[in-house]
Amino acid sequence: MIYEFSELENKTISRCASWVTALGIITLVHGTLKVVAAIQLFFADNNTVLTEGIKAAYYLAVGVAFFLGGLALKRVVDTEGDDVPHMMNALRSVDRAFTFRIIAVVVMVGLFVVALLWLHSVLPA
Amino acid sequence: MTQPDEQQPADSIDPHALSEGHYEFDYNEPEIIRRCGARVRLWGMISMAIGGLFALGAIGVFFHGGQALTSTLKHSYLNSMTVLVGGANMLGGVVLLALCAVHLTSGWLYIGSGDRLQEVVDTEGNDIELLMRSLKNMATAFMIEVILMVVAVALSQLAWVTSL
Repeated sequence: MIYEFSELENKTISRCASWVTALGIITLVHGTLKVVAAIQLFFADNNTVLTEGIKAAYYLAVGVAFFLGGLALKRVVDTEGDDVPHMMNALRSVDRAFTFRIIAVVVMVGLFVVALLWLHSVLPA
Repeated sequence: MTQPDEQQPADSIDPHALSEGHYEFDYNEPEIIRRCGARVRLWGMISMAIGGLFALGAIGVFFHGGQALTSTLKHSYLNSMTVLVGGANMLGGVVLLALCAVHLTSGWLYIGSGDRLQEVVDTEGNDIELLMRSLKNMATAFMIEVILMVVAVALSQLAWVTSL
């Protein structure tokens, strides 16, 4: 069954598309700045270059996922005949972006716990 | 002469409705929607937890000066913000409280959005309306995040430039 979103529904989708795209772009800009910072740190022989590199990869991955989600939502509004598949693509991309974020938080919490345990074992009681 | 069978009472139309059509998602669509809903909901919970941590940070700044806080968050955008507003003082505490409010609000919106997506899968007859409500919540949460990120990126770049 083919479903075409109405003008009223397209308004809501269009608003969401704009903000997801904007979030994707600003996240990509942040990621690019992290790449620049990582390159500067690499040439300065700084030991935080790996951290900056990981942050850059994370922001770029999340940014791309959000940006693609925004494009798919825009396609829902701009095209006819494939609204539901485009909507599913958008939800998949948004899902991917949130998955990256959740994995990053889990890794960060894990590293924090490991660091706490390490400090606990190194520091005198 | 009125024909009650053909007329809808005016109050039966929801003035806040975001949709007009009816469609039931099927095949693999409910699975995609359910998965996305679960992730969005989980991110909402994480965002609220981060908001809670900011609240604790603000309490730390207000009651203990927050010296340990700034050294712990040395490389985060939060530190850039607190440094730019004058270190871990009262103003820094206010920034933390603002960040707490932002994260709690966006977290609450994400949880609402995830719940609506879950309802799309669990219920019948209202799929499009629920999807639209979910997208509306998500759009507001994304808007808040965009504003926060623009401020954070600008401040972190300012802090980076001033540290060179």
